[in-house]
Amino acid sequence: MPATPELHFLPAWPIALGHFEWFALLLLFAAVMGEVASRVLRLPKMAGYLAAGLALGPYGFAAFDAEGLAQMRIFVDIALGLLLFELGHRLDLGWLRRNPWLLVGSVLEAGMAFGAVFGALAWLGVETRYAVTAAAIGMATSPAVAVRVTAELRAQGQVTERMLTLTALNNVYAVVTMTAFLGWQHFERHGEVAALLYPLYLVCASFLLAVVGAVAVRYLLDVAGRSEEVGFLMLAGAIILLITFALAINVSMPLCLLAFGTLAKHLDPRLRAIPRPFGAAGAVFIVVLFGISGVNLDFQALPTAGLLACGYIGARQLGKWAGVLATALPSGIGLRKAALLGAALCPMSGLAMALMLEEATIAPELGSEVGAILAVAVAVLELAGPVVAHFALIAAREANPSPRS
Amino acid sequence: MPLDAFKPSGILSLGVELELQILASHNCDLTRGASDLLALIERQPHPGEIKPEITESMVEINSSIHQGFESLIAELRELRDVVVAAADKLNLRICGGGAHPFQHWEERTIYDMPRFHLLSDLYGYLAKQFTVFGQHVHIGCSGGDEALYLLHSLSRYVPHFIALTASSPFYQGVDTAFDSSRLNAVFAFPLSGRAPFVLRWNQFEDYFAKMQSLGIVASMKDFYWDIRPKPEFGTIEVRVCDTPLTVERAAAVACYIQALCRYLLVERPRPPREDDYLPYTYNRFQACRFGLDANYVDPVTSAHNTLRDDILAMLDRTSQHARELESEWAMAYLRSALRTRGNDAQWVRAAFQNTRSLNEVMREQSRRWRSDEPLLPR
Repeated sequence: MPATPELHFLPAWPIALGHFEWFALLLLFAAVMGEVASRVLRLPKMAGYLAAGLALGPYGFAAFDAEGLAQMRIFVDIALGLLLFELGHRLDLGWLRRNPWLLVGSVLEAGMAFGAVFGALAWLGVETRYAVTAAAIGMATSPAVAVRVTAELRAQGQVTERMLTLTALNNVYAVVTMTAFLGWQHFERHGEVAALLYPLYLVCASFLLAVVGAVAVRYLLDVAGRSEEVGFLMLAGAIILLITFALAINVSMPLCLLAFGTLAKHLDPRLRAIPRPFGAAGAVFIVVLFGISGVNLDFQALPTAGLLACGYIGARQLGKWAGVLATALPSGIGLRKAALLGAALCPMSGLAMALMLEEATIAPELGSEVGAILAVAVAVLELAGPVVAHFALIAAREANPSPRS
Repeated sequence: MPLDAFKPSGILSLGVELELQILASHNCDLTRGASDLLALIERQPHPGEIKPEITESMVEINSSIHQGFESLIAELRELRDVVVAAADKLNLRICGGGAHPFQHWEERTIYDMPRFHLLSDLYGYLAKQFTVFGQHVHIGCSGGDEALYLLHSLSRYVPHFIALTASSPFYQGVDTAFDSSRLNAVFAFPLSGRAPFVLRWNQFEDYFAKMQSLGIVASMKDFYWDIRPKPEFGTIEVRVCDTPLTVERAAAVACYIQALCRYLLVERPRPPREDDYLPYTYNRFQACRFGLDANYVDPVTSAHNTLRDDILAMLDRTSQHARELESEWAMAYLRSALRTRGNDAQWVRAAFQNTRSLNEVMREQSRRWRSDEPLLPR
């Protein structure tokens, strides 16, 4: 309140900062932190965005409550949608046909990560249904990190290509495994047919939605031309629609958008590749995605579940390494590159995980113990994952120096 | 280190080196792939040699020594298939062509070998812009004098080799109007051009020693001449050709060069003169720019002719020699190309007309590289 009526035009002080202002501050702060991370610390920019989010989150300024996060939700969904699309776009099914050992390696790395995590949790006495869910989540590599680390380093080579391909595939496996398990668990009492129908519906309907989207975008692009602006607008529009429809018809958004990216590429008979979705506009979404991921980092259970989370991370990582190392030679890479590939597959994403959990119509239960282990493991790999993947690609000599330097 | 003594090799024996492009499957741009590709190929038996080149987007195949067309084409096809099979496993595409039509040279990375880093430090952006892809043809000679005689006599035909193999009309995303834009990248190097006009090997050794004492060159590798002697192999090396889009054309042009050399050695039409070089750069420019439709100035008769007609005339003149070398197929291939489809630069431009996309042109080019061109009936 102004002190005197004469000064009534002066504003109240301090100005109250709402969610929107904090959101703007997050962008500014993340931009600075991203540059600090990349230029001073030689870390990926994502690490800076995450740190900015962490600073504005519950362990710092506590700028966002649940309502604030809910308001950011649409940005986060679009960002994830764009990145999943890009990942799907890089998935080349022809490669899997030409090099079946790659597919074997993919199934093995995801399968062994699942097996190792499940085994470890079961050995600790965790209930089977919780252990299965946690192990299924452990199969997936963070799609956002895989795509961004490639773009930031302008990386090219076998570790990069395989990281992208295996990430796309292990996300599909994770969604399908979890849905199948939940369906079986939930509908068991209605008989096997009902138990089978749910995952079948989820996979087929996600795919069908993606087909419709890809065909529509292709013809719209033929009409509107394939300039970068048109491409970006059309992709943003299509992705928002697909996200909304996926939620409305109870199918998996990650599955749908991955398939959309892959189909958009395979259905287009010409190689006038769909324009790259990340110009300056895309950068906003990336900052928001990693910033909000930083806000969401949950270290609450660190004291109690820290050790077990390390076990979770270790088992998952060993599984991934075993899978890619076992198939390295027949699939055409050396053991050193395979080891780096296994390391590059470590990032996890809390937001992608949340999406997987919430979009299963039947919410899976994790139980408080597994929930705590998973939260800590995800928080650790969310922070460390981009850095590990970044240095794995550099060690594989697949990073290209920026042309300006 | 003085120049190696010229080590005689089988007269008119033939060897071919082809520098190939490594593309990413998803957008057909050049990509890093040489180390991965070579690591994979190392474990497989194959004839000839498969080697790295200056950037990670390039791989070179070398044939072994041949006498004629049939064994050469068989080996080149086998080498091609080994590289393509490995590339398939790694989601890479391989293709011919003298230059990549839309690559950004600043994105190239130098292959990790001391010599390549040295060149990169010396030549700066030229080294990366030098991501161009050539065909080198070696012809065996019995001695240094013979090598120099052939080298200077062949200079009159350098425009033939350029026009027949030109396959780099696009560069940095634009139609350069040249059939071979690749050679423009080569001309930027200080030691490019032609060898000095000396006809005795001891004179050439003197020249080399002088250049060495000036501190300009360390070895023959530092000369980027259109044709250079290679004393340690006992050959002369023709270096003006773009890598063609098919191994068949590469083999045909190599055999044409071999037949020309036989003609020059057996018929001894006339001794080479310094004045033969008067129209040299003019003719070479014409061939790069206009391909087979270039204007060709004969250094002896001063006659102006189209390059196409001059090549057809030479194909007739040398047909007897090609027959002796069992390379008639090569001559038939070139004759039919001259009368119908022209050179690969024309094919690239037509592909761009059809697709309006350089990415797609490159995809077509990689498809073309992996398939056999039918061998015509003799």
